[in-house]
Amino acid sequence: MSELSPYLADLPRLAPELLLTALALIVLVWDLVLRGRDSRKLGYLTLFGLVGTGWLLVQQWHAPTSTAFGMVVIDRFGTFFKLFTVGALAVVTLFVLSDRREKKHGVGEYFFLLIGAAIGIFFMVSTNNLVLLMLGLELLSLASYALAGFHKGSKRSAEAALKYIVFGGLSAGVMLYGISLLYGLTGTIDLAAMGRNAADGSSISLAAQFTASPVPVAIAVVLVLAGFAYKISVVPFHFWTPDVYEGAPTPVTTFLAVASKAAGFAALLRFIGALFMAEGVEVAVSAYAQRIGLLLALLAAITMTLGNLSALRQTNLKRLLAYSSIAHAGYALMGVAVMTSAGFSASIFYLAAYYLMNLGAFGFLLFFEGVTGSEDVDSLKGLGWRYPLVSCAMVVMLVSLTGLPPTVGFYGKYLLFYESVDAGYAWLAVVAALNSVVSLFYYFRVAKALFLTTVEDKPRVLQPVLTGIIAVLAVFTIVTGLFNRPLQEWANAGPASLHIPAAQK
Amino acid sequence: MYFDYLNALVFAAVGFVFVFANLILASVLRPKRKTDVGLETYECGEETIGDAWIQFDIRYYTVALVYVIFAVEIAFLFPWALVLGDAVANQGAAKGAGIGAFVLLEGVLFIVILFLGLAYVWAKGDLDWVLSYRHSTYQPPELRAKINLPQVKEIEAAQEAQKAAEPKPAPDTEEAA
Repeated sequence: MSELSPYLADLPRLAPELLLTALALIVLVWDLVLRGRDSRKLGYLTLFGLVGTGWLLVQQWHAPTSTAFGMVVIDRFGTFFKLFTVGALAVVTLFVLSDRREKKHGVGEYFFLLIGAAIGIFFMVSTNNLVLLMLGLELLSLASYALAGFHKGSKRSAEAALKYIVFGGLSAGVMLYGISLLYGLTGTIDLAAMGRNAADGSSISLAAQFTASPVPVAIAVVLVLAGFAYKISVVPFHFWTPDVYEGAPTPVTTFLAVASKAAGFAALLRFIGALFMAEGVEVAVSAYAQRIGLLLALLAAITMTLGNLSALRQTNLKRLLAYSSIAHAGYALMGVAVMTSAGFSASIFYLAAYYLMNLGAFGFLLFFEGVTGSEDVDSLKGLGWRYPLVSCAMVVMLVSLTGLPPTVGFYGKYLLFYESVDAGYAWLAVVAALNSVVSLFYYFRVAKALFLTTVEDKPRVLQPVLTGIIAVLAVFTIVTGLFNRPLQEWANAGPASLHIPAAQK
Repeated sequence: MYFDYLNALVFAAVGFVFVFANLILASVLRPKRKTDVGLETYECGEETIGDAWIQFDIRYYTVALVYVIFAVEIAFLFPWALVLGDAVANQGAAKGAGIGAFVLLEGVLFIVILFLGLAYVWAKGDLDWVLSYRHSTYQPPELRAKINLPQVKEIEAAQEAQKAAEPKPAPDTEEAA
């Protein structure tokens, strides 16, 4: 059996992925055995499996960087985003379990699809191989399409699924075309290999191709970027976002807004990092990188402005949060656009902050859907006095989403602003600051509806699990805002493991 | 520099011209006999019955999706089966690799996972052409009762009752004055 060692030795490194796959299959089979009865059991099993996966990932955090089967890179960058996904999925599972409007029976596929999406994310964030990246992205997308249309009888849910699948199919095609061009130009599908000329001449670096003929290289890179832009809903690929977020069941919207978006960012960071910034990438590409950076900076400015201005007019809280998530994609993109190691760290930090505050905000939305059965901001009137704990937690989230101290949102934005000014994008920081002022207006319309109106006396609806999650997230939002050193160190580990040298000053 | 791809452009142009040139050539050369027999569907076609813009039963799509399970399975199993013999016997291209058992196990695992998809469809009752509530997802007893839809008479009676309960429109104001 000793000859088998190269194959079997790589398997343990995929332990988290294998565990998730087994979990997904067990959930599916168990649902069939139960004949759709009591789907909550499957939710608890999912939580249990996620805890196990999280534990395995923590083990991997301390292991050195390695590659499994020549395709899956196990490094801190990927592990950070995998832990991120597991955490988000655990909260989403709890959301599903405590969604008062969800059926308690016959929804076992919910958990199967969520785990399937997570497996897609796992492969997407931890590979340099463009084909595997595409496969992971498609697995995530297919599960997301089904999840968006999970309420089959609902017209809005069906509309969400249809819009999502049409936009998703189109952008996947565009991205695949870009990847095929990159492969044609360089002779390799490995991102790390695209950075430099192979010693044996088996592949040509992107830099060499760029020097020879810049136009095809530019087209290929922009096409691939378009695919990522769709996933993280950057203007002009954002059209699907409000409708899908509004139509999908709220826990699914949470998953799309948090885990799916972060996965898109992770893949984008790895793509840009490996092609333009890693050690050993040639100078011609670095000059090209500046232009791509400028393009991304422009997109970031347009995205945050459009997201915030559109959110101003929304009366539906779910749609408002959808536009706010577009705006936040713009903020996080600032860190990518500056194309420095510190900028990447700031971007990763901001995504972690976004995770905390957006999970909280969507948890709040779910809570009040359970109470009022409506998503309108107006229907929140006076509820702040009846549910003080949840509402105060929501105000913390809103403060953080706006980017005011002492929350993690403030520190995340501070880092992004600092890095963009440092890299010479002062105008971008100004645009972002103005945008934050605009966002203050619509975030605090929610707070105003909660607290500054009269109280109607109605019996309280208790939702202890949701209340607990929202309260814990609010506490974390403040605590990580004040003591952000550990989170910042984790975020810094990412670019380091992508072999991006820190800037010389 | 920009003419690196000229051959691709020429290829595309020739392909484009080729299609239309053939169509035009055929329309010039072919005899035009618009008799009933001449306009009949030629050889392999079926005479159409009715309009194609009808709603197709959703169950056709389910069957098509199930078919995909097997299509994908075959597409992946053919290359696998081709090298399996060599791998298990430890000869040919796989000589010395000693991965026979591993390859066999992986193939079996792949088939098992794919068959779970089939088992899922089967258990959900989507392989039955006539769908029944028995096979659809579990319904607790109180919901199962609701499946008995109301009769038209009952609906009409309810509407009548509602109409009767509504307040009469306000009397003519002039008359009241």
